[in-house]
Formats: sequence, structure tokens, C-alpha cells
Amino acid sequence: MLEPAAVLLGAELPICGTWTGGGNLDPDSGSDVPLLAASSVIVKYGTLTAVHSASFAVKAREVVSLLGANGSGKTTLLRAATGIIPISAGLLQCQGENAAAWLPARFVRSGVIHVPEGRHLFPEMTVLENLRLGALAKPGGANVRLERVFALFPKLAERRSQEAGTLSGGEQQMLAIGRGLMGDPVLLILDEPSLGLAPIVVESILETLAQLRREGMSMLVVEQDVHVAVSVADRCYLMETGRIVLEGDPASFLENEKVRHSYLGLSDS
Amino acid sequence: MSPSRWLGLGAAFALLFAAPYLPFRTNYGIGLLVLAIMYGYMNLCWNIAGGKAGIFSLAHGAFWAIGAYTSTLAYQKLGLTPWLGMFLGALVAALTAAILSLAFRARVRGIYFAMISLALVFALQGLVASSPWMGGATGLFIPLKQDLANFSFVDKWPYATVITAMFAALVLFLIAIKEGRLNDAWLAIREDENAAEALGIPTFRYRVIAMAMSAGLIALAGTFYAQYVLFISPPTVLGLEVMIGMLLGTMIGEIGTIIGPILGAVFFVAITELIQAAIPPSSSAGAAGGLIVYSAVLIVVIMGAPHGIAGLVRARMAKVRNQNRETTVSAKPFDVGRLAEALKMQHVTDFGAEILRVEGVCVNYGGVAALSNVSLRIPRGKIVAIIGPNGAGKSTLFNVLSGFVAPHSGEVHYSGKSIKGIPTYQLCRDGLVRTFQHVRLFSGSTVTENLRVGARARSKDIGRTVDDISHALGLQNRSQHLASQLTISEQKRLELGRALATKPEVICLDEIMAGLDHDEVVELSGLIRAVNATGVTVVLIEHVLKAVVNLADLVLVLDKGVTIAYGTPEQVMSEKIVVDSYLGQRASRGMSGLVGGGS
Amino acid sequence: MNAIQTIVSGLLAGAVYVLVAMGFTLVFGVMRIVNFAHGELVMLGMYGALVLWTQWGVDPLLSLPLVALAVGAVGALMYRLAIRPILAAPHFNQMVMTFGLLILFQSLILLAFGGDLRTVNVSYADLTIIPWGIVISIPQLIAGIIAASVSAATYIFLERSTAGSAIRACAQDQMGYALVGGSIERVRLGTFALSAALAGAAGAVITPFSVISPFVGIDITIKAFLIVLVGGLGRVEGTLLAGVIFGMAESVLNRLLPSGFATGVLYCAVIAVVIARPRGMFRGSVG
Repeated sequence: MLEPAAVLLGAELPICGTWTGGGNLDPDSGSDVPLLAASSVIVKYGTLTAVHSASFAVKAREVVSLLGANGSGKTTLLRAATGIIPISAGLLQCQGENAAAWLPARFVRSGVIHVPEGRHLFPEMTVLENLRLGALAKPGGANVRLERVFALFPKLAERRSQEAGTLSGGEQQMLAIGRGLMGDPVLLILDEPSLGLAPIVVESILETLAQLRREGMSMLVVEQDVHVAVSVADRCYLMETGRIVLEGDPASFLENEKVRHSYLGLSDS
Repeated sequence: MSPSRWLGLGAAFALLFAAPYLPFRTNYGIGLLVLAIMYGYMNLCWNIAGGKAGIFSLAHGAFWAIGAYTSTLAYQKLGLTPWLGMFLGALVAALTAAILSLAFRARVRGIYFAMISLALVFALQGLVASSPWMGGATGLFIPLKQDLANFSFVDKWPYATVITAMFAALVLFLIAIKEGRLNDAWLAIREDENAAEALGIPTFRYRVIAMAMSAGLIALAGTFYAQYVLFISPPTVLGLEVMIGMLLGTMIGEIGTIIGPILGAVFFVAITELIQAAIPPSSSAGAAGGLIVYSAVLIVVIMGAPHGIAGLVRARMAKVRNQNRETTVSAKPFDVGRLAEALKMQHVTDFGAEILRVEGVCVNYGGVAALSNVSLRIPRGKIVAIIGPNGAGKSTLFNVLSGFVAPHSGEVHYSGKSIKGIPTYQLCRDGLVRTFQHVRLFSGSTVTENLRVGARARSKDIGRTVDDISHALGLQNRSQHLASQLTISEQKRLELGRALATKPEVICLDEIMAGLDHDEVVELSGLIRAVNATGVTVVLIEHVLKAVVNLADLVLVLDKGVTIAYGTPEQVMSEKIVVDSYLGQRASRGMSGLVGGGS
Repeated sequence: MNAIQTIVSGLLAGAVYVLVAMGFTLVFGVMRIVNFAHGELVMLGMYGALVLWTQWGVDPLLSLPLVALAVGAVGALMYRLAIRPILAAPHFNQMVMTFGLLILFQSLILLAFGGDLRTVNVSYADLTIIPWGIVISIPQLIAGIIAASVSAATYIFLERSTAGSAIRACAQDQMGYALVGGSIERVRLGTFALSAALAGAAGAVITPFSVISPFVGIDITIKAFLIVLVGGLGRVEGTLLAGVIFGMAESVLNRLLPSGFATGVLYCAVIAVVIARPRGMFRGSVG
């Protein structure tokens, strides 16, 4: 059986306070309203249907992972769920409000922050500038959040005047997450955080995610790497050719035939 | 072209030729006719570069002027008759265009090229205006000699006949090359330059041809103009009015066709006359008024009808026509027999011997090693798959072995020879073809046109190859549909078909199964196996592991730029390191029994 | 002395070129649009200054802020009406559009003011200072200084202010900017307006010693484009260096060759450079 992530990863970092997204949501209010929920969402590119009727939800203080192979539609679904591309049909709600027509900036202001695949940092700007831009939508309290990001990622503090484009892959991912945190999120969405990173770096990213989880941050993690996906999550979804085909807790995921088929192509015929 | 079309064309030309001689003609009317036809001719010339080859050039006004100046100077200084001076002008213009085209070698494209071409216009303006022997800023007069031998007439109607003859000749020429090699090459370059190179088209060469040809042809009209108005000067021939007239004409008409530019010319002349009737042309208000109208119309057209007004009409008609077909036709199943017909390779006797070899290849991108010391030997006639997680270097390796990227160290040999320094189009002509991860079809062209471009690479009988491949891939019912109108799976078939039309010896397929559902994967796998059965070596990048397991003879697994396994699918899939790299570095116990248990 | 004079005058001209090219390159960086009509905005600035001079006797250098603002507003309008609709259009359409705008502006001014060449005869138009025997025209000197200052101020704005960071961020990664909650649309509008204002300022500042005609715009656009191409598209530092060099080269050539010839040779030379080094000469060494 898979042990809890916290124990696996050894020493804990001190909790520096909780990430509750400022005044947007009180996670202890006991509200069951999901932070982000999609119901039967269909996403099309022209005539091509990339996502066929997907439904998922992320509640407060929850870490959900969305697992899927290349081309399964998970990034498309994520982009639709954060306003980057439009949904063709279905319901999208952010903290109870209808978010189907929202632009990305609106999601950011509501505390749903998307750290994209490929990171999309500002390559010719310094680490510090990138982080400061992360607080664009919520300038109040930015300095406090900056200190916490540096506490979480000491490497970034060391390199604060270095241009983002010259950082290593792992440092760039840390910067991307840090920039996301600067926006004071209630829900942090990470699209393939482990992509292209060496194993040891992936481990440190996992530690960071576990730390954030301890501090109360809700997260939605989209991954191709099963290990990353199950080790931090409370709940998992599996996506295949545009459909969500499985939902459950991490342990059962690992035992599951479907996961095996998705990843090794070992189904019959 | 159908007989009825020829008849229509013949009638139109007959009318044009006869017009200046008809009883109810007026001098004014003939003058308009001359201008309209000349602009129509010029638009068609510009269209060769702009509409056909996709080169947005703002220098064609200058090439026209070069024609005018060259023949006039040759006439004045050397006494050369303009009938010959015309061709001298065409030569000078073509050479100038060819030199400007060197920019394409330097990867200058699109708007950057447009700007440079504009700079050329102004460079010429400056040079001519400050050269007294070229008439300077005041210009040159052409003596009125009323002499057939010297291209000079008193009346307007001989001019009308000359320009109509030139126009007719150009139209016939354009019709003649319509389904020829030039047109196909230009189509490919215009739609997707990289795909064109991959399909064996030397894009630089054909671009230069388009520029030189269109420049030379338009220069002929420049001489005509000089002989018609008998006065040329930098403001009148090297100004921008000519260029905007051409753009307007092409936009009002439709880019890339024959009728379009003609309609545009007519429209342009009509507007010009209306404006001149309303405002006296000599005042600056007159000049300005005209330009305001031209530019305003141009802007409105661009916003509303990007392919020109005629284009709008055509698109709508095509939509209606194809809608009627939608219900009855869909793609047919594959026809493996036709495939064998198309691809048979009798001359090959060394199946099993090495055909493609990658040796110790390293590729670095800004400090990151995309490939480190990767080697691979591909035997002829086999299917080899390259797999690995995202970022493993598969695409880079693919680009290296298909000649798109040169490795920083290491070598690639195809058929025993190193491919270093060989341009991609040449590799295709030698039998090595690739497809692209994101389908790179010529979306504005029909299925047949797409296939034809592929067939040009190595086929002797183009029509036959296109027909065979079209049937083999079950696309024969969709042959007149635009590639953009096909479904995703049909588009993949077309992409594959187009590559197969090059009659390759080795075909490299880049994630061809992506986005297909289970049945489609099975179908396409069957086709690939059939292709391989004809003797074609297949190299695949794939993520859809079911396909890999079923198709591949050999599998290479990459991770972070390094080979981690190479062997048969069974061998490779049961290696722990492969399982780890796909499922994460520290797979838990639950995963250990997964491999080796399935089929 | 002649040589130094040529160089000095070239430097001053270069400063103005930098101001024009800066706006041009900003628009390219943020929107990937090459604005054929950019030089027309400079020309509008000249005419704006002309009007204020002839109507109210305001010296062009004093009317500069107002002119810059006015042309900036025209730029904003131009963006909203003509540029925004074609942002996603094929390059061909974008080119035809801005080319059409070029002709439109040129013709509107032609209609309004006629094609006659105008000048603004300020009192200090012929003043010169002669340090160490080098003759420097006062209007050109002032123009150069103002242009350099405005360029410097713009550079500082881009590097230090929040709005400036937003512009740079948008130019470097639009998606990233949207995901931190920024409005790409507002940045585009602001950038276009800023670029127009800079062009208008350049127009006003050269009015005291230039010939004003509706046809100067195109020449300026081509020069701005060639400078930006040499300096590296979208790179402000490269533009700076290239602008100054261009100014000097033009000055030198004007000295050695008759005027039309100089332009011809200069353009041909730049075309040759671009063909040889298409990515811009300074891409590796600056920024």
C-alpha cells in the first residue's frame, strides 16, 4: 500500500501560516460549495471534440489529481476550466458562480490560479520581477507573500536577480509555482509540474506540494506521471481520449486495470 | 479545362480584341479599355508571386518601372527598338528580383520581405531621381514617332490590340501551367513551407522563379506603358499608386485565381474614372481623393472579405456545392491492393540490410542536452518505433534522422551515405519522407492537389500515382474536397497518403495515431502494416502504446535524451527501467506485476 | 572638422530615429504587427505642430506634449478600429491593412493641407553654436537632446514602472501575462497609444528644421523598419544602437554623395546587411 506522502518525504518544513486566499473564501466555513466544478463539459477545437462530457470537482482543502496520457485531453480540459479556451457545452462553476464565460483574469481574481504546462515565465525578466508580476491582480500583501515564497524556495531567494530564462528546469518550475502563489490563490492548479524534470527535482517539487497541502492549500494537479499524481492527492481522476473514465482514491488507482491499460497499452485487440 | 470553358474564354477574348474596332467605340472608351487590360495584366503578374507563391512583394511597381526605364533608356541612348527593349527590361527586372530574393535564403519572410521590397522601391526612387542621365526627377520623354517598328502609334486602338494580345498570352500561359509542376510547387510553398521541403520541393529555387518570372512579365507592361503615355518619371512610375492599385485589384478580385485580378482591375479603373469625373485630377485634392477612396475600400475589404470579394462568392458557392455532397460521401475503407500497386519496389534486393543509421548523435539546445550520444540502426523493411516520455528527445531524434536538424556531433547515414549538408528536399527525392506531429496539410487545397504535390517528388506518372494512393487510402470520394473540410481521421489519412505518394523507401511517421479512437487506431495500424509489406521501411514515434506493441519489429526507448532500451516490444516492455520512466521514477509495489501479464 | 561635424549631426539625427524606432519595435514586440503606417503618425505630429504654430504661434518644442498626446489618441483610435480586428488575421491581411492605413493617412493630409511643402520658421531656425569649430545647428541640437531624453524616459518607464513591466511581460509571454491576471487587451491598447505618442513627439521635435509634406511618412517608416531589423525585432537595446549607427551612416553618405543617391545607397546597404545577418546584428551582444 502507498504510505502517506508526508512520511515518505522525510523532514517537514515549518508551516508558515495558511494559504486561505485572503478574503475570498474561509475554508473552515464548512461550505460544501466546490472551489471549481465542471459538469458534462464538452470542449471543441473547430470540428474536433477534444473533451467529451467531463465532470469533476475540487473542494476546499482538497488535493485532486487528474491523470492521463498524452493526448487524453487533460490539458485542454484544464484550459477550458480556467477560461483560456471556451467550453462548447456543459456547466462550469467557480465557488458556486457560473464561470463559463469568465476570462482567465477573472479566475485569478477569484483565487483560482493556473500554473500552466510549459510554465510560461517571462524569460528576460528576473526571478523577482516574475514573482512581483504574480501579484498583479492582488498587490496588497505582496511583500508578505514574497517572503513566504522565498522561504518555501530558498533557491529562488538566492537567484532573485537572475533572468528566468537562464534558470534550470527545476528552478523554473519552482518559480512558476511561486509566481502562482504570489496571486494569493484559494485553488492552485498545476499542469504537468513534473514535465521534463529529473527525478531528484521531481521529488523536491513533491515535497513542496506536500508542504502546501499541509498549509491548507487546495490544489488540482494534472499529470502524466502516475507517481506524482497519486502521491499528493486525496482523490484522483483518470482521463482517456477526452473522457473521464475513472474516479477514486490513490490506492485503488494503482491497483486498477484501467490505469494499467492506459499506460502500457496492454488491453486486448 | 472543359470545352465549354475554352469556348467562353475564346468568346471573351474575341470581344476584347474586337472592342476597339466596333462602330460605337469612343476614344475615351478605348483609353479605359487599354488601362483596364493593362492593370489586369499587371495584377496577374503580381499574383504569380503573391497569390500563387505566397510572397507579399511591394516591389512589383518598381519592376514595372524598371521595364519602362530600361526600354526607354535603351531607345534613347542606343536606338534600340522598344520591341526588343521590352525584353531587355524584363531581363533587368528579373535579375533585380532574383537578387532581392536572396533574402529568402536568409529566412526573411512575410512582412519582413515586404518591407525590404518597399525599401527597394525607395532606393530606386532616390537613385533615379538623382541621376541626370536617367532623366532625374523630371523624367524622360519618349519621342512620338508613329512608327510600328518603334512601338509607337498615333491612335489608341493599336495599343489596345497589343495589350490585349499580351494579356491573352499571359492568361493562356497561366492556364497551361495550372496543373503543372510549377503551380504545385508554389501551392505547397504558399501553404506550408516546411511540409513543402519535406515533400521534396526546393522552396528557395521556386521562390526565386516566382519572383523573377513575375518581375520580368510585369516589366513588359512597363515598356508598354512608357510607349503609351510617352512620359515616365519617378513620381509617376515609382510612386505607390501603382502598388496600391495592384493590391486593390487583387483584393477586390480574389487572390490566386485568374478571374479575380481581372475583375479587380476593372473595378480599379472604374473607380479611378468616377473620381476623376468628380474631382479635377490636376489638383492635389483630386489625387488625394482618389487615394482616399482606394485605401478606404482596401481597408473595408480586408476587414470583411480577406480573400477578396470574388473569393467570398466562391467560398459560399463551394460551401453549397459541398454541402450537397456531405450526406452521400464519406471516406471508404483502405484498399490494400492499390497500395501495393502504388508502392511496389521491384528494384530493392537488400531487405534486412541497414538503410538508416544514426551514430553517436548529440544535440544541444541552449545548454540542455536534447540528445546524448544516441545511436540507432534501422534495417530495411522493418517497422521501428521510438517511444519515451515527454521531453525524452523523440522529436529531436526524429528531426535528426529525417534531416531537419543537424546534430552537433555524430553522424546520420541514409543508404550508406552521410546526410550531412544534404537539404531536406533532396532527402525526400532520395526516398526518405516524414510526416508531422501536427497535421501539416495544405488546408486551402483539395485532396487531389495535396496528393499531387507528394507525387511530384519521385513519380513518373503523376496522375496514376495520385489515383492509386487516393483509392488505397479510401479518399477517392473526397478528392475535390478541401483538406480543411475533412474529418480528423481523414486528414491523417491524407497526410499519410501524401507522404506515400512520394514513393518513399523510408517513411517516418510522427505521432500519427494521436487523437484517434480505438477502432481508428486498429484500422490505421493495418494500413501501416500493409505499407510495410510492400517493402517500405517505417519509423514511428508513438505514444499510443497499443499500436507500438502490435506494429513494431523493434522499439527504441528514449528518456531525457538517452537510449534506455532497444529491442523487440516484448523485451523492451518488460524492462524495469522502461516501466519506471513511463510510470514515474519510484513505482510502487503495486505496479511491479503489471508488465508481462498482458498481451 | 568636417568629419566630426558629420558625426555629430548623425548622432543627433540618430537620437530622433531611435525615438521613432522605439515605438515601432514596442508594437511589434507586443502584437507582432509591423505597422506600415507608423511614419504617418510622425507626419501627423509634424502637421499638428504646424497647425499650432500657424494658428496660435506656439513653438513646436513647446507644443510637443500636446501634439504627442493628440497623436497618441489617434493611435488608440487606430488600434481599436483597424488593428484589433486583424490581430488574428493572416499576415497578408495585416500587411495590406497597415499599408492601406498608410495611404489613407497620407491622402487625408494631402486633401486637408494640399501637397505644398511647408516649413515652420521659428526665430532660432538658423542659429548655430560653434564649439571648437564644429558647426551645430541649434534646432537640431535641441531636437536631438529632447529625443534622447524622451527615449531614455521611455526606457526607464519600461524597466521600472508596473505598466512598463506589464508591457514587457506581454511581449515576452502573453499566456503567462494572462495567467497572472493581466489584461492583454489593455496592454495592447496602451502600447499602441504610447508608440503613436512617441511618433508624434518625434514629428513635433523635428518640425523646426524639416520640410513638412504629406509624403514624408513612408520614408520614415522604412527607416524605422530597417533600424529595427538591424537591431533585432522587438529588442529595445538593439534598436538604440542601430538607430544611432543608422543616423551616422546616413549623415556620412549625405556628405559624400548627392542626396537621392545617398538614400539609395543607404537602403541598398541595409538590405544587403539584412540579407547577410537576418536576425539583427546585435541580437547576441545586447540585452
